[in-house]
Amino acid sequence: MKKLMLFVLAVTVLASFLASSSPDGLEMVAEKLGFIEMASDRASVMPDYTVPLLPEGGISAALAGIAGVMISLSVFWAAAFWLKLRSRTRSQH
Amino acid sequence: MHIPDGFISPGLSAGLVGASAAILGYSISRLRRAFTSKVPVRAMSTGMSTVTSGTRRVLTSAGEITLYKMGMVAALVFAAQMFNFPVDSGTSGHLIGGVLAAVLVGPFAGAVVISVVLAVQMLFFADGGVLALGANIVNMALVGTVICYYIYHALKQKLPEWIAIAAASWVSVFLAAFSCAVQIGLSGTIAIGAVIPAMLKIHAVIGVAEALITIAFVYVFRSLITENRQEQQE
Repeated sequence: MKKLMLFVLAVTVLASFLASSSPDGLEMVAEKLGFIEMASDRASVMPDYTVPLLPEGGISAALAGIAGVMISLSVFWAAAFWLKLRSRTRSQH
Repeated sequence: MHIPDGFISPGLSAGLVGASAAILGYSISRLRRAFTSKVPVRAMSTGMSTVTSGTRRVLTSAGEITLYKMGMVAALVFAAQMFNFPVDSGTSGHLIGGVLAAVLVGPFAGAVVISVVLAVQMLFFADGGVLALGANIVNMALVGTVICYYIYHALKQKLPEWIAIAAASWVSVFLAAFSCAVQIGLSGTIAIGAVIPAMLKIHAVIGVAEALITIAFVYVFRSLITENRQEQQE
């Protein structure tokens, strides 16, 4: 899975530097029809896919992106690890 | 099309949270059956013989591999969703990845993958609302993943796979946008007759990119996974 992981990280880094910052389809519609201000903003760890305290830009976005990729990945890998561990330990009784 | 809090009424949001919980519960129970096998449990030893009573479920190696694969798909979908591409002057779009995930790991595993990505985006990146997570899961994991998987599956019987992937991907964006617009319209946020055509018009364009990216990523993912298998066998 190493090559696949490298591909995913490449996509993340490219996205961080090249992604368009224009509003997406829903945001554009909300702006055009005038209900965008109904969206409630809230605080978050990495708002707008940037790492706080770092100057805004590609590097901040790349770090936030890599963090998101790793969190998404580890949800499933942790589930696999935990289920495997449970399967093994109980069968020894 | 991650809906923030405020676009959908609290009542509808709550209903959609319930619907998304039902979808996830069903999907996870399907995966549990698929990824585990029943083994007998030795309950007690009576003298010389052991009495087996009941069974318990143990993760199979195929199930374990699929879980690792689901993690890779989630990572890919997360990365791809960051890649906003320009579609029109001043507007961008990004991949949903529902058909991508469903083609790679199946409809129910795909729905769980997309839901996890949506939850991570909501929790850590303020992308998509807290109460709106239910709506986003219904639109992207149910409509954009499970339902469109069956469109892909039906088309694949008669047509080359890449055409089935392209068609299902385009439809997934269109239907998810429709579902999103209906939810916003029903909430009284804006006239339903205005929001539906506006959402469909822009997402008909975004869907073309979804189709192209999905075809490319399905082939890249499959080729990198097979290469990996060959490496392990050597």
